Amino acid sequence: MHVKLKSLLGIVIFAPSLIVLSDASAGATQLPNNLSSAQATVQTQIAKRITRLGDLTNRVNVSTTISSSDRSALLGIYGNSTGGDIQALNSLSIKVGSETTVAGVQADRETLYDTYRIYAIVAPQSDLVLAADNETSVINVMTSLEPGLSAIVKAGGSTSATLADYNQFVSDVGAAQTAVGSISSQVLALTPTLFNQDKSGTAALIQSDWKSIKSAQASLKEARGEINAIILAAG
Amino acid sequence: MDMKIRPKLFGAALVVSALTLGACSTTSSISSNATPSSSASQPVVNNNAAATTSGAGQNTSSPSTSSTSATSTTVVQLSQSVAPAISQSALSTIDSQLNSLDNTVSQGNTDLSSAGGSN
Repeated sequence: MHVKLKSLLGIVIFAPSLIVLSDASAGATQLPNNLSSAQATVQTQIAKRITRLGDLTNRVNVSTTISSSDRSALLGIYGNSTGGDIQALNSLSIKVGSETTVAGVQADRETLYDTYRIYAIVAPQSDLVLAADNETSVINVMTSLEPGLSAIVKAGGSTSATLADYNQFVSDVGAAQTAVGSISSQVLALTPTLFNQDKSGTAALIQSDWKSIKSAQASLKEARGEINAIILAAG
Repeated sequence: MDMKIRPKLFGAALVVSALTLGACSTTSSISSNATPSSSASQPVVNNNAAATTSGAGQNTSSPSTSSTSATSTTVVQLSQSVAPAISQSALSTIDSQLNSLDNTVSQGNTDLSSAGGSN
């Protein structure tokens, strides 16, 4: 994985408006000098992340297209009262509250950033898996329609227009399949540790995968239009 | 059965209004290996997706719309000549899942753009 991330550095160009990662942005904003204010600041940061993990948990739970293994993997990352990030962040918030120095609070905040990477890794990771599995499900349904669509085209005399629509449909579904590839398993392998080791490479990988997701989405929409064209032509 | 299709254009989405599938048992579900001559005896297709609609008596479904998804909002009611080969429920499933995908991608765009803090 590490080698792959490095290799991506040379080939992936990503939009500057997305995922701007730098050491300067690594959250080193100055904490208040006052201990209680510093504690409140970090505890608020923690609370926001816990809320975010709750939102992600809900999205994964209501998804009808995510695979059971991917659902388990993501829910395992998010955690709950017995483990995972949510439990750990709750514990960290308690620790922040028990600190006696601002330096201690600062150290806790670095732990918050470096250990969990909720915004940099977990949230994009979740979006990618949810989208990839969603697309895979659409691909499966569309693939199941290919014999029927082929039969419709043949029954209609295989006019050049409908045949072209059918061939394009098959091509678009195939393109979507290629674009989705193994994104889910790939991004589930990402961890805060990998991110800390190679921030730009990890960001490039996420961005590249996200572009693939959107490419597959476009192909599937095209394919959906081609289904309608075939049906209408046969009407 | 009336085989005419009545298109209604709503913006970019072509919505062909409901033609009752009538004796839907002959049209709602098919084998993925079906030919145009397939009949009601064909087994229900199982495409590993959570079909949102079922067969008998079903009219055109109305999936939720999305401004970014013209094709996914397009609903074409199957005519009698087509219905034996294509499952209406499969089309509804596709539309529903494409709409869900729109929402996921939209959320992802937001997440990635706000990930700049890298924390």
